[in-house]
Amino acid sequence: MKWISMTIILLLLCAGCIPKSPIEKLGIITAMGFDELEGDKMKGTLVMFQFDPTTSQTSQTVTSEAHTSKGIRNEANQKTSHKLVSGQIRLKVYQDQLASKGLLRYLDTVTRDAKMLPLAYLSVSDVPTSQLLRAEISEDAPNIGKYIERLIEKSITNEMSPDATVVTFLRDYHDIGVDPTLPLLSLEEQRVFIKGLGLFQDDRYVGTLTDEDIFYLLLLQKNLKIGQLQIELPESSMEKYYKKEAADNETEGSLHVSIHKVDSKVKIKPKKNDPSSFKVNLTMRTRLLEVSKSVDLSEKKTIDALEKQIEKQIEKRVSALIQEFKEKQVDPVGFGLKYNTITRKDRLTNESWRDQIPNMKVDINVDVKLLRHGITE
Amino acid sequence: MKINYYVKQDVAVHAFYLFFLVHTVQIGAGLMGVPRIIFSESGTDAWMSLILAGIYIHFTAWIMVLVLREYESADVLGIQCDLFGMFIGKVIGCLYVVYLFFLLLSVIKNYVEVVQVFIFPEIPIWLMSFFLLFLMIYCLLGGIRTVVGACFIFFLLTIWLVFTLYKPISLMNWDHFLPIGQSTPFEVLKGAYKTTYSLLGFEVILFVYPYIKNKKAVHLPIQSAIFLTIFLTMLVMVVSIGYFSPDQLKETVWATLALFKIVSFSIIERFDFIAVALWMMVIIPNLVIIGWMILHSLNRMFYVSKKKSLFMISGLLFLASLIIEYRSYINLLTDWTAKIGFWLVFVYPLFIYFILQIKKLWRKGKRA
Repeated sequence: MKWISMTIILLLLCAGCIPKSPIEKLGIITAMGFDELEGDKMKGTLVMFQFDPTTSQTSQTVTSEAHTSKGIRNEANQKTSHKLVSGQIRLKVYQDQLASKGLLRYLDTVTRDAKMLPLAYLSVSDVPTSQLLRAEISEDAPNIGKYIERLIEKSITNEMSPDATVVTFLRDYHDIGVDPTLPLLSLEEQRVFIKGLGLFQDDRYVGTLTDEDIFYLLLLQKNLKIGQLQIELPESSMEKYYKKEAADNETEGSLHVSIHKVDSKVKIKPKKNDPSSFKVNLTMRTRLLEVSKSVDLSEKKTIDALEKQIEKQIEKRVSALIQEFKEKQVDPVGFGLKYNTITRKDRLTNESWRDQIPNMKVDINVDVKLLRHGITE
Repeated sequence: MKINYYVKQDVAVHAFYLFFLVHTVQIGAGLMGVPRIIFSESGTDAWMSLILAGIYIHFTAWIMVLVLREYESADVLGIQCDLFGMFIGKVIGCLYVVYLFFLLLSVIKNYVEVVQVFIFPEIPIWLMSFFLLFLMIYCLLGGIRTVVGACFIFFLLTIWLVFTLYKPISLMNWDHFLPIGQSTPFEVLKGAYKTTYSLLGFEVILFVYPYIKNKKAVHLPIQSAIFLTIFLTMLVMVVSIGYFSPDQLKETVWATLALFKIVSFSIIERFDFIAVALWMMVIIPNLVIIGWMILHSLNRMFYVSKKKSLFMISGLLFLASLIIEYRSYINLLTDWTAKIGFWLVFVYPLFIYFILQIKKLWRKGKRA
């Protein structure tokens, strides 16, 4: 009996001492956008859910101005009857001007506040986020924040874009010899889409990579399983192997090849005591899904020739990509990190590696295996 | 005070349960933050420090059992009185009690701090301390067999947390470990020294030995418990180094809990909340065992009734936990506990063993 009464008292104590948060009174923020304003201020746009049974509108967008991320939330709290909570922020979008000044100051709260979701996505936008987060949604997403989140998530799981979570961004930022990347969002006819990939020097946004180049970056960054790739080969490259019965109009123009389910492995070999020279070995096992001209695939030597051509093309594209990195002095692949794994003395620091990037010489070796080519030959 | 301490058969426990006793008292508040603490000394070679510390702890535990086996059924309190005389023996016994008190306090404080940071920033300290102490008192009133039972249950209830680490493991970057051997041997040793706080607690064998039924079979459960502890610490350590970049890890106070932050299931989005709450189950065996050691020591040395000292100690802990408010004080408390613990647990048993051997030789010489 003594213990039972003790337990009841304890239960009452438990229930009374901690503030309650009924869901009807909460505004659950799912996405936040940040725009630059004059001076040190910024403008924040909050997309939030509200579960009020009396209204049919479940989503709301609020804009406010402040100096800090939490300040924006407090300011926005004045503009809505709901108590804003930040435990479910899945997406943070930064305007490009803001991002070019460095993102780290906006990310401090994400690492410090245990309530924040570390798997939230970060992204950059080349239109003001107050517009971006007010864009229409034609699909059945519950609100714009959720829509963009799904957009990014899909492109990451389909290996069309590198990981863009807060954890990855911060890790790449802090690691010496790697630079982070984030997807670049844009608006086209009131529709949000992923325009490319934002390149960063430390936490400063410095340039973009086009949609087609992202795949080549991914090839260098990690081993892929399900990637897909379209390649344009020069007109004359496969001349010898066209089918005899092919009409002339079928063989004109450049040759387009589409390969799927790219199963690639990458090995980056740094050279001892020389941070400017690297060897990259790329092996890809893949299958052919589309050829724009009638190439005779029944013979092994045709396939060999096609493999050679694809290898050449990939090599060309990858070295062009690395050239671009060198010009922008960014290293999203992590060559510097690879060099540091074999060096004890004179390890690279962030500054010394930044200066070294333009001198980098990369020797690329691609090995493509076209294992299958569909149900026809 | 008698040197040997005999217990009735109905309160004695089987040696097999020493496994749970030793393991659960070692795993606790220390594990939450151990990656950063070792990492800040020995960098990416922290795993070497841990291996060193592990070997040393296995050795110390082995020595402890050797010391205990010199007597028929004694604990460390009796042995030191036999070796150094009543007065000095009791003084060292009091030192043990003070050290255990601070250890208990630091466990409570660290856990309350974590709850405040992770789940309820609004929860008052007194309420959390009250909950924890309430559970501790409830369990301790049941005596040694309840203590052992609690360890057993809570071990089974929490060990599955290990499997949720698969997600951070999949995001590891093994390049962080290379090249091996960046830190100097001295730094590695310092790192090994820093593991003290998270691996403390296995001194429980020095106290619980008289209660063991089959004293011959104590080696295996003790050594395997220590092995499991080292293994889990190593796992958390290695995953943290691979998962965080070096600078991040230096800033992350509770790296182990931060690893749980990225675990999410479709039914539980924020697994870290579950993990922090479950950590209470990891903490309770700590409190209960350490509390039991304090009560046992006071009862042995000064014949204080266990019930009286239980409420007295709980009251003191409650008050002390209210006084310490800032994070920096908690860190200071933890550091000092680790320092005292290092000498009392890692060095002192060796010293006793040494004295015992000398005494044996001396006796032999006298007889001849």
